[in-house]
Amino acid sequence: MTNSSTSKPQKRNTDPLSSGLKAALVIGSLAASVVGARLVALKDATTTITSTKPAVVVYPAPQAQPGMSDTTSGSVPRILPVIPTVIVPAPMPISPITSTRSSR
Amino acid sequence: MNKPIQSRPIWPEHRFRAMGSAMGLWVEADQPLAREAFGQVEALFAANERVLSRFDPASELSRLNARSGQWVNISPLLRDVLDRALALAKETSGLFDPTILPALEAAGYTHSFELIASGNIVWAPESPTYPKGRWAEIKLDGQHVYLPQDVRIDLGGIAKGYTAGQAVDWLRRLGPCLVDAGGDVVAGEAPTGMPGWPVSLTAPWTGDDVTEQHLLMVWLRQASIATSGIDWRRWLHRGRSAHHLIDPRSGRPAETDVLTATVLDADPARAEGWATAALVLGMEGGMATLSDGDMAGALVDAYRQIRLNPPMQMHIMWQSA
Repeated sequence: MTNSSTSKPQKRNTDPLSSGLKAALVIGSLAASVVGARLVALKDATTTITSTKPAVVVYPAPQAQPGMSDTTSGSVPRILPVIPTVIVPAPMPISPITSTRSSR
Repeated sequence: MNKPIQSRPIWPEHRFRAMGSAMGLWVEADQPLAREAFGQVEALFAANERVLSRFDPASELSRLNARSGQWVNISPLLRDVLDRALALAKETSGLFDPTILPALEAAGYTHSFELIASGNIVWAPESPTYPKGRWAEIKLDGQHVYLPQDVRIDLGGIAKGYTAGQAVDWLRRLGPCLVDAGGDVVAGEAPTGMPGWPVSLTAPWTGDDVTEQHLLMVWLRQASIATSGIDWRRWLHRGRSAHHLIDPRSGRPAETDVLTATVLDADPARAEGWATAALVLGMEGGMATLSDGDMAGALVDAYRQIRLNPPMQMHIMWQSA
């Protein structure tokens, strides 16, 4: 990486397999398409990766936490509704003829 | 509770009370034959109770208990049940102990539970000390038995299961059969088209919801399943809570975290004896001991925790969540 104030114009890097590629963070909602997927680099605004091959897209793990806002994208995330889960025992395959229990 | 998926056949059935407990009989046979056999089995339970009950002063057991310190001639039935009880005492290292009668009386179990529950009991003076571990001194020689001085016997721990085993042997001549002796359930062959008789384990807790809750279900075939518990036979004695399962090590009602202990075994008396022993030992000790002996067991505690070991899990065909 070079200092932006003294850097010479960088050659466009057309080789996605270059070992010099830096990881980029994908923030916010992304258009899911094979061609033209856009990566937003946070750390190095001067590095632009263009490629004819589909880039690796990392989707953020869903984290529905009330009150949390995504300042980088400027959008308010959806808060996923909590669906109550009720565990229902499987029905008995057949009704018992009797039961074992302490003597009575 | 969801409705069962499959309704089961209706088999000839007979209900009655004996040995202080509710009894149930089922057999896959024609009604007339079944009815006759049911009458004979009910008579069997009554006859055995006249021999084995400690609550009947005229029973053979009561007369034996009154003659400790001398050799006494006894019937084949009493000899056989006593022999089984002593074998279980040895097998459980005394955790099942047929000589606990003085301890039972000291805890207030001086009469049948029906009488105790009625509240019409005047407590006798304190009983003599329970002679711990003296079951090993009992001598059996043919039809003769010697009880050491002050040793008295209670066979309530295995009498029902033993008699239920006899009942199955009688009913099986007609066809597949099942006997429920106060919660100790003994099965003969499986009914036609089924892997066994569907028998559940009910939850020991009651509360606002008194509907019977099933915890698990097994297909019972050529085996017995017995439950010992402190959830039902409880009373107040001299201001203290008491129950009928004595810890032979202390001579007092067992202080245990187990509400009910259930054991499945080929032999009904063994299932009963080990259920009692497991309850006395508690959740940890009881389950470890059952597992060490490769005995199928299910223990339930007051926190509604149910613990099953692998031999029991193999028998289970349904379990509540």
